[in-house]
Amino acid sequence: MALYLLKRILLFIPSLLGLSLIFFFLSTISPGDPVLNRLESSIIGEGAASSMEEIEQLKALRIQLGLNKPLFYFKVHRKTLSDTAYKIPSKQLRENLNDLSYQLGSWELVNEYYKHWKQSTKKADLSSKELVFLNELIQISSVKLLKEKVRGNQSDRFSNLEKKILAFEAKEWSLENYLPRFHWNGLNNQYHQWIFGLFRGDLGKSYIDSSPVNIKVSTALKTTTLLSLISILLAFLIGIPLAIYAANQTNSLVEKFISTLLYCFYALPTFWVATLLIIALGGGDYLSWFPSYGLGDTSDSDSIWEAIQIKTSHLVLPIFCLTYGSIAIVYKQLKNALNKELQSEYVLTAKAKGLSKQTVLVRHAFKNAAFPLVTLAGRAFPAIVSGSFIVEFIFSINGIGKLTLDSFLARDFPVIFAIVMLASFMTLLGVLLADIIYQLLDPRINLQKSH
Amino acid sequence: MSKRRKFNGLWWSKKFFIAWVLVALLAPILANKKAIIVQDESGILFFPRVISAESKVLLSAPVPYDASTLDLDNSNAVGPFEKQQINSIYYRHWLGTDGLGRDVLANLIHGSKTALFVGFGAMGIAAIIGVFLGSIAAYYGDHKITFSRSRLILLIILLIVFLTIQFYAIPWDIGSVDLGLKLGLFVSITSLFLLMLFLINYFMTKLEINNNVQQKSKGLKLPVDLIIGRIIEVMDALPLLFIIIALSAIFSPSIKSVIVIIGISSWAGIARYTRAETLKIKELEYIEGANALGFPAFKTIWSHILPNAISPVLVSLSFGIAAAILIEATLSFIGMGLSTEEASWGKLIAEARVNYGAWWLAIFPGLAIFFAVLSCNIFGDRYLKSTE
Repeated sequence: MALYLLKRILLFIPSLLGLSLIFFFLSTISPGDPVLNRLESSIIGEGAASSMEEIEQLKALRIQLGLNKPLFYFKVHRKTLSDTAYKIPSKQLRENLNDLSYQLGSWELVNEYYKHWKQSTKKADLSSKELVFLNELIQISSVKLLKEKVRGNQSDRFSNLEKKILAFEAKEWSLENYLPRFHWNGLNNQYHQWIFGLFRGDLGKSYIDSSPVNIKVSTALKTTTLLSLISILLAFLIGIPLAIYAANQTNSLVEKFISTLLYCFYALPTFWVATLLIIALGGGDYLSWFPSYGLGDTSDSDSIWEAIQIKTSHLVLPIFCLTYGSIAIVYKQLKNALNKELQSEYVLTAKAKGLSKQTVLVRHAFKNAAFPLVTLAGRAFPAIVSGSFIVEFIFSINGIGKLTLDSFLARDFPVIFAIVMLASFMTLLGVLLADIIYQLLDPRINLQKSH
Repeated sequence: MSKRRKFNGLWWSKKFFIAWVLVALLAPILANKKAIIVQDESGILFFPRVISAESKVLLSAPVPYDASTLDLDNSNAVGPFEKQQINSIYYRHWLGTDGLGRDVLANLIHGSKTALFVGFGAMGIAAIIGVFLGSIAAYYGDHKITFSRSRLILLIILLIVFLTIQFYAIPWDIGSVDLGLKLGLFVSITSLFLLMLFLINYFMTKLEINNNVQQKSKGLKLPVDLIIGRIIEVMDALPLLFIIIALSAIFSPSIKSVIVIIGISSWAGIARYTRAETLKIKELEYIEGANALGFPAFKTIWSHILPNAISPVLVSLSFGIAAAILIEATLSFIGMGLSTEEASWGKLIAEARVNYGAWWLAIFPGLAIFFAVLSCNIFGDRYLKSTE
């Protein structure tokens, strides 16, 4: 048993690593620059000087977040590209210089141009017109346009820079553009830092506000776990008796009604039900029985009774939206399993002994029919992380689901990595737990042999 | 005993499904701002670009609005039973308008097209990937494909060179190089690679026959089943909605990207079903017969195994279509996935969140999603019963 579990865990590690690599790769090709966005939203008042100041601030911020390091252990890239391009702080700037170096067939020329440009921006008493010129210059990504821009400039303070640009010669086809080059970055890279932080339990800092990801995720996880556990528990507590009742009373009117109703529940989109409930009961234009926003704040002056009241009233609608679909699943699985068991011979024996149908169902058939429930419970484990996604979004609950969506929209990759890893870890845990419970319930199952 | 007519879910699902497909395919005729057929001096025109003053309208759409037509007189969510600012009954908004004055019925009609395309398109992609991977994983297993060592090394070198060129030498990231050149490079390098692959395969086979190399004994085994099984496990380990949201943050928003995103991330179930079924069929005697006759593997899989393995795939396909429709609606609801011009049922419900009290914005599209998903589920259960 222990050997089997160890084997499963060890086999899962490469899958987890592969997953982390995929997401890391996706994060590098996704459009937008999260750090730049953060900076732009914090800068108030945009002058002509903003571009240079911005670059300096970006640099400081990237060092703070550990983004000034190379991405991965090695890099295969075009020969015209510098292997230290990651040091340039802005993504836009990097792309522009990259483009220029592709047209020129050489990185050295572009690098010199960039250095001269930086020196020019540091010159004392630049007029606003000159600042605008420098600012616009660095945003040009074509050699031809660059030259035109320089020729149209009246100011003569940047002769060094201008000479460099006028000496540029675009090459239509240079073979160097198509030759790959391999560069070893060493262990001091972003991926290494992140994956080893993960093993130590340190998930890094959020791109948005530099706060530790650990705290962000664990706060959100508490809320979501509360929601999910209540809803999973309710689903089993309501679903199991209903299924037993239905198996006992097959083809009765009540059974048909329950079955049809729950079958329809299964097809009801959660976000629609949630929206309807908010409109109808959440203080829209109709009834206002329940609050529709957040989980409610309780202060210390409230008595326990009042606190429970506030929390419960906030929880009713989200819990209902989370639960009705799960009840349908539990009901369907258990009812099918029970109906199958009822046709087996031991049930016939039990009936022949004179036991009532109820006793046979609860004491004999249920024990054997409970296996799909164990699988379901195992599957519900990862749902603790991801299951309440849309409900949290609609009811503005600060849980994992809302955190995920916000992080995706802001491209806050450290948080996304953490949640993805957490979700896959929970899946592994759920599957393993289900396996263990299976064997405890039924010693005939031999895990080593069946896998 | 009274003869009570039994409610037949399958019959109703079929009727609903046919109606849904018809509405989706006829959407441009059912809801269109412009006239459908027009007669002018040059003859009869279908779907005219410009309608001149002299031309006579022969047929106009029953709903005279596009999905994104703004009726400024009836903006601010006018209900279906409220008084509407319209010229004649023909222009009435039968199901009301949303906050910007867009017609709900027109959006429902065009949204049905989106749901149909996303459901079937995404599951089509998922089925191709899932059936392919599942069947080859089961058919080849872990021991059937063997390589001689030299052939394996050559193939790995070729693959590495190919990937390097593909990802790093082609200037995908350079904005000033136009897309035509990039695609041209991609196609030519890929065809060169395929040619090399073919040549290597051909000459290595000749070489091995000449030198009497015993493939089975000396070769290295390629564990196809193990590799594909791992990939399926990783796909299962991730919450589907997470991957889809992650991918839609990267792709530009449109129906096409939603279809591709859902398709490439939801094939795991189909692959698992196909694999299990192929494993069963592989052991049957007629497959042994096909092998004895020397049929190529592709032919055996395609025309002898898959036709018998298809019914469990149909089950997961039906449920998959239902799930894809739900995912698309959810994505549109949270404002991701589709571009602003494309109509969707989920978008209408999102409007209901903004316009409190506008029940018509929530009820109608919600019912449409509900019935679409329900009918797909009923089909799935039907197939499930027929397989058992």
